[in-house]
Amino acid sequence: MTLSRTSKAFVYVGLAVFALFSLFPLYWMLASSIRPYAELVSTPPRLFSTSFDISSYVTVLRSSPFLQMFWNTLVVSVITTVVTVLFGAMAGYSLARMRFRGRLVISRSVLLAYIFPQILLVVPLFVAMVNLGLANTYTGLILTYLTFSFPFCMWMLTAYFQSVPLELEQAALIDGASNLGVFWRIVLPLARPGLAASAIFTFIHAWNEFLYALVLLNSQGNQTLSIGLYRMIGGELMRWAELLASTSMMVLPILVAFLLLQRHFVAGLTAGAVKG
Amino acid sequence: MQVAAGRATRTLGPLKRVANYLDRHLGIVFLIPGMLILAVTLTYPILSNLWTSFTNKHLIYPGADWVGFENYRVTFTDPNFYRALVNSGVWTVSSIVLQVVLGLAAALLLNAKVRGQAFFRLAMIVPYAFPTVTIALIWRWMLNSVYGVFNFMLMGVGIIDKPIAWLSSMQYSMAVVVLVNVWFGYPLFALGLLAGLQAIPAEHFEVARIEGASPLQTLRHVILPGIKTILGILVVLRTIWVFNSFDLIYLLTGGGPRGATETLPIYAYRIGWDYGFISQTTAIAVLLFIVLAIFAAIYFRLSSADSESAV
Repeated sequence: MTLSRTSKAFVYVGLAVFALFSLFPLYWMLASSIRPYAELVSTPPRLFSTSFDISSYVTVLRSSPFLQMFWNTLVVSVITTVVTVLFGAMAGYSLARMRFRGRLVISRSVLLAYIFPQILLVVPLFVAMVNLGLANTYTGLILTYLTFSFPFCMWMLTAYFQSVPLELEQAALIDGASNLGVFWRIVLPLARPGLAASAIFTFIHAWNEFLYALVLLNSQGNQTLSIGLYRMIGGELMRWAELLASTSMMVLPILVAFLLLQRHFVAGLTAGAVKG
Repeated sequence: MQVAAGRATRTLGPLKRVANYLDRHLGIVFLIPGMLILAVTLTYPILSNLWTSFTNKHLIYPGADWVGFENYRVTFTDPNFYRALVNSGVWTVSSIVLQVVLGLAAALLLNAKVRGQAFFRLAMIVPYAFPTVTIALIWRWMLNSVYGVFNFMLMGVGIIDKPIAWLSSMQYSMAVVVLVNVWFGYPLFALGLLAGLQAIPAEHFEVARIEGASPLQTLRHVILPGIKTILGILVVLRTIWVFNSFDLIYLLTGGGPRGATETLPIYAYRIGWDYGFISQTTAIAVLLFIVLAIFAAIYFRLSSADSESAV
């Protein structure tokens, strides 16, 4: 379908409006975070500025627990991702390939799990973690993160494994490979895009998670970024310069990772989540 | 095969035999850790939630007694519950409708064959990478009543003539939290629907063009039928997600001002963690779940109509 000049122009204007809408908050966060304080609070704000001032970044890194919280968040997110993808791939493969009774029941209840309101699980999970002595620990927090990441990834990976052709596996089995060998050497490499998609999904969700961390973590040293930034909002006077610098430093790593891997993510989203 | 396998088994030690046994039953072995995770993190909490909703468990005081349907009775007689119910309806329906409209428009634009599509697609999904707490902070900064760029932009084009404190306004707070949610959520519709559009055979568009169909007719007779199923699935899944969502509103307004943006999840949270009545929180959670189960049933209907292989 070729487009006339006018409709092409129309398409570009439309796309530009959407891109501007999506990107402006990102621009405004970064631009505000490197403005001198006087300019930050001057009105009306200027859309573009030529003066730079990164002192709020220095302040945040020097005199706030930002780095500690960054590290905490990273540890929690990485462990959650590894556990989820490993066990999710195993269970997903099993559901995709093995024929046994109750397979449909399992996969459906897994999806059902995905729709549970966090608020439905927060009280029992909180009580359970307190009883197990895991409140205020990363182990407890990671266990609660598995409630949303595991069902979704297992579901997404099941759909993905179903789309991997059976012939290769059968050929390897005939050649005498074990089931585990087939899974490890043939299926997993083929499913790399699906694994990447579920890893990004899990990592972003763990990196972003707020409610469970709010309820479970309450000592100063072990806060994740979500909670740390939320507590910074607290005071009477919002310290916008520091807040915007912290916000930028929380967004940028995840944004870079996301943009690098987004192709997998979009593919996984359409293959697994959308097709159901 | 038979012979080779037989000889192999004879020369193997007990460890190897266990390994072989496990390998033959790999399907079950692989399921075990996952099922354990599900049991610990989902089945147990859900049952425990249901049980707690019939007790008077408190956040701080120890012990709990069976109180029957008392928590449900209290919930149904609380006017704030009905306010939260209405807020949840407004929040969910307006967010989803706007996300569908914008998402479809964006998908149609992305589907047009022009250069630079990859960039625009990337630009649009950027919001998805933002942690909720940062979304809330950025928008609180942009919507700030004194320094906020949003006010000055609207004043610049003459829509308003003096700054408005959007997030603390009884009148506008719900509208702006919906705006933020639409900003975050429309790209997922755009990408999902784009996949649907790309699956429509090119001949269908060709036929419409030859028969001289107007763009609106093409939309109605070619595009909408082609994306009907995927749209349905997306709407149901996203409705569930938006209905459940807690942190975006909580971080933007905390449910305020005076409950104007307090949806059911925030209402449930406040009852439990601000007032300590966690047994009542669990009762509200059970009610929420019943509503969501209805949506889930619709989803399963739609997705099994879509394909046989759907899980």
